[in-house]
Amino acid sequence: MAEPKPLTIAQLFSSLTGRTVNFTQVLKAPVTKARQAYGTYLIKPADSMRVLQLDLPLLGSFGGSLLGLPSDTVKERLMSPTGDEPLRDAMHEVLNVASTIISIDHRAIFQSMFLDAVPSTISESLKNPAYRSYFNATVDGYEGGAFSILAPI
Amino acid sequence: MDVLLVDDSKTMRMLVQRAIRQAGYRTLTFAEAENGALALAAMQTEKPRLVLSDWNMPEMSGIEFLQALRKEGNKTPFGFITSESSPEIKNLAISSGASFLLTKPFNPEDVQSALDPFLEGC
Repeated sequence: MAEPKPLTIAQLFSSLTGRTVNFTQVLKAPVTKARQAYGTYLIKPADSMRVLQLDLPLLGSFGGSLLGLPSDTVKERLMSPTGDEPLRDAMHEVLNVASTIISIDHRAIFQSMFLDAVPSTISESLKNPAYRSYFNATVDGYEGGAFSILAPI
Repeated sequence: MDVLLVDDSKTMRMLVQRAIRQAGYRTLTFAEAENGALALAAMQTEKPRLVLSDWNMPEMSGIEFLQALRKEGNKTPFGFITSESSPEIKNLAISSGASFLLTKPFNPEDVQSALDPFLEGC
């Protein structure tokens, strides 16, 4: 299975956000204390699943830059207990656009966004993923974070 | 109304409008729909010069919307703006009557190239 290259991923998000985005591939799962966000994808034609797990502040940076929100505003809105619908919609769209780099060989269809936790059936299967690809990302003027592509067993 | 934008993401509808204006089409008017079913209903009363639609949407997908539109005999130019980019998807879009498929993320130059043949003089 072909692996998405850091430069390819960086170009996608740079093009989407209009910001300089850099991705560095790392061998081990990034250690992070940030809240997590997840996108689940259906891979066709195999009907298998792939999961994008990333730090919520990073996803917020991508979504916020789409909306033209300053970094501090993104952080405030992410902490809002009631959530922020425009930012949530933008983050959802970021995960949708990310489907183009989730699978190089096959068609990936974005299914759902989860914040903080995925359903237990998915989290269980992610404990020892069959496929894993780990990155650290930076976004010019915004908070960066960890970014992982995982395929449950 | 010149362009009907169909996408379940309000953010993406805003970004497409922004890109179209940045491409030089500053006087176009827009209508929006959140999915194919709502767009199909809108087409009963609206006569846009161009339809721009996402592919994956709840209720009715973009390709289902296009196929329903063509089944009704509606020939309005139709383009997809989508994260889908496989050859199979492009072939299905074109064979179903789409004029083009623009892949997300896009820039104003991409938008201009795609829209120029349909919005000349706007």
